[in-house]
Amino acid sequence: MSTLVEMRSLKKNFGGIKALQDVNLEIAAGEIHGLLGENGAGKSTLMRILCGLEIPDEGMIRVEGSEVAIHKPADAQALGIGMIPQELILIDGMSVTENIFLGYEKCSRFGVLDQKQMRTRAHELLDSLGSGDIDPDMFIGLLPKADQQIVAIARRILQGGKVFIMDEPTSALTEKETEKLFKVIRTICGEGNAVVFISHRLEEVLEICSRFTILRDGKNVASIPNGPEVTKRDLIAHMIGNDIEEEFPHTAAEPGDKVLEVANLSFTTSQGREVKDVNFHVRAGEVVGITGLVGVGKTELSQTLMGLRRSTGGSIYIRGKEKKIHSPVKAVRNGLGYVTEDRRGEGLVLGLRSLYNMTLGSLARIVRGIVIKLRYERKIGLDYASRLNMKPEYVNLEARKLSGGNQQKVVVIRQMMGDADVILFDEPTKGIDVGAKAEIARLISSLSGEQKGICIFSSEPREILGVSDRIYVLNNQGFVGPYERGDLDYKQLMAIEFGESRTTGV
Amino acid sequence: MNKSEIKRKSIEFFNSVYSGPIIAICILAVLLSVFSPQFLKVTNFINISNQIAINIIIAVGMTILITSGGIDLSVGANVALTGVIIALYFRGVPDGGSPLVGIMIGIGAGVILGAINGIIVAYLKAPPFITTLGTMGVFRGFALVFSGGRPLMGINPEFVGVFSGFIGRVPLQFIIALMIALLGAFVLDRTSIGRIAQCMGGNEKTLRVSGIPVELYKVMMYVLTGVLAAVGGMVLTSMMEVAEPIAGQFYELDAVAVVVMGGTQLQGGKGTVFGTVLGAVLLGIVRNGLNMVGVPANYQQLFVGLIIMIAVVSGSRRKYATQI
Repeated sequence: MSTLVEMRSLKKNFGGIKALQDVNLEIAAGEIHGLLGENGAGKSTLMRILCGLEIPDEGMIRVEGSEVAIHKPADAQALGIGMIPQELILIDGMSVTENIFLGYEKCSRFGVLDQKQMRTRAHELLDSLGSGDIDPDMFIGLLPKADQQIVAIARRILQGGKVFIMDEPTSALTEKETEKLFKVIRTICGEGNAVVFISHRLEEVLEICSRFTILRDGKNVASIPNGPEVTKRDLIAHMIGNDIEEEFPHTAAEPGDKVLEVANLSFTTSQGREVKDVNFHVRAGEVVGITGLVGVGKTELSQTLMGLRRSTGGSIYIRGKEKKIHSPVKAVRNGLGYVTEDRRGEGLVLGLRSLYNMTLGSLARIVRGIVIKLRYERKIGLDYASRLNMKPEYVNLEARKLSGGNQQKVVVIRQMMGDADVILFDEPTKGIDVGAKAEIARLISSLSGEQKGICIFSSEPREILGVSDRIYVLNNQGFVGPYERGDLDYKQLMAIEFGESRTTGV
Repeated sequence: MNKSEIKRKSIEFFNSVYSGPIIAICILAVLLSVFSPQFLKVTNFINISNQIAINIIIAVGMTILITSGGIDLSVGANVALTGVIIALYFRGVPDGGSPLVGIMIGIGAGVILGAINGIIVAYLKAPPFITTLGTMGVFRGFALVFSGGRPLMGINPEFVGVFSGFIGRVPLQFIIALMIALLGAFVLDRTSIGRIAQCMGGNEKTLRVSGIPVELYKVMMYVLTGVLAAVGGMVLTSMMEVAEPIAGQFYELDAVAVVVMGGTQLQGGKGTVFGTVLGAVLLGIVRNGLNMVGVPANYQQLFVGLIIMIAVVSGSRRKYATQI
């Protein structure tokens, strides 16, 4: 088999973070290439480079033997490389045929669209993919998700696509739909094209891929052919390596009453999957960790608790009383506090001083009537800043000018100033450098020392293992747990996240 | 003050939003005093302060509203409708009515008109620009219908005395405007309502996830703007001693213009009432100056429009510069 794409010694830094360090990838014609790794291992960065969405700092890309420069998505497209994205780029209100030919319309002699020819060609294309049952006249929006992806593939084939990058293509599909999509993937690869398949569902990658490249912390760790002897356990072992536990500060708390209890809660994820039977509780003074792979619904669960997303069933008890939480206003009134994942987009008013960002959740505490006691506001702001090792001059800076770690401190201070009984943290250390991560973790621990109930939603297993008193896991089978502190090590937790085992104490 | 401190202070001044209008006012004042001997006379300043009073009153509300990320184009129509409603009250009661009831009716009208805008924007999630463009037509229509399209006389003279006249040589309406400006600056900079306005204009989502009832506060911002527009309507009705259903045209344009000239971000998040007052003074001097040097009325509108464009463009450039 000839090599279609070869990526050599790719390097890419984001700020101080080394996203890719000397990464190599070879994609052969006719191959379904599984690209694996934990969250943040560098898979997406590598693929974004191949598609022209990022420019590498160093390294070389060859396509069919000759060196190429890919600076923008159009360059990649001209070379036949393209992504079949999760969120599809198709237009719902147009027919299958119109979508396939969008921007490449065929015209008859007088400049009029040649509907008939396009329709016939669309049908031929879909038929060659073994999907002749898709009606070319159907509106895209009415098709099942798998068929939409097949149409997207057909569109790329028409545009001369050779390398198809699919990032979690099955996450929103049923088992049957997945089978159908796999058939199409095998068909296109049989014709000398190649597919890069990224997925967290290891059963699926074992079923469909012919070779694996595994990344860890921005480095190649393995490139192995698939075969009957390769198991899920092998893949996980490569992905996580021999891990050294990082030091996370943890103070064993004296847990008090149940402040939050969730019973049989169900909700729908952003991808339209329903998660059912979520059961857990948080006591005052303890840290509960809820983890799982990216996209499994952690953020959505936190949003449901905060009234930012409708629950589809089940109940929420606060201090033993059932509460209907339809809005964040109600959630806060009932003693919940929230630190969002999207710090810059939702957590902060970037153009406003840090101090004002800190106090905006507890204005009632610093006003007389409606008049803000400015001096008092400044005093308590400086108090909290010094407790959190934040330089006093930062307090007067606009929030946009602070580093990620300090921005997160501002958001945490807002929650500390408030009188929430339970604070939900969604990905509290996302995008924060290593030093500040430990500091934020220490902060979270100290909050639990103040008899607040803490609930962390995080995809970082080390963080979850480090700070939590109790752990629950959200995986593709449902909501699993509880696991007490010390019950799990890193490997066991990863196995549960990937849905390999549901048992505790392996 | 040593040299480096002077340098630092002057850099600070040129970077502040106030530098633009202050420099423009100074240049204009020098030019006008050269070209027109009338400009520096006390009567002329009284004249200017008289002319800008209503603009300041309306623009103070607009400053807070624009800071919170909203806008209200119906303020001019609100001015006319409030005047007509008050006139109808004074004409409708046999004894000529009481000024206190008249004021309460006027403020009540402002609350209702503002709340209509606020509820449509906050709860029905309609874009503020289009919403208030629509209510501008509706309010103006009601003013015409209620008045029969004619100016209404018979405003209670005591009521007239509350909102217009002179204290010494200073116009009463100008004093009212300055008091409202002081109050507005206090609300924006020192109260929880002002703080929430700044947050709302900066990032509404942050308020939402913090559990603050965003919709309620949004309605409050529109009510505030509506009430101040109604006060403007009462001042205008008192100054003219007649309620005109076609009064207050383009007041919304003037109000938005001086807010932007004063350095408030049209995108929301940052606002200054002091800047707005400077903007109103600048616009007042420009209009006055154009009259003094005998520029024909048709050209005046053109100049005023150009000045507004310059203010908007330099305002958005400044925002751009701070983001890079």
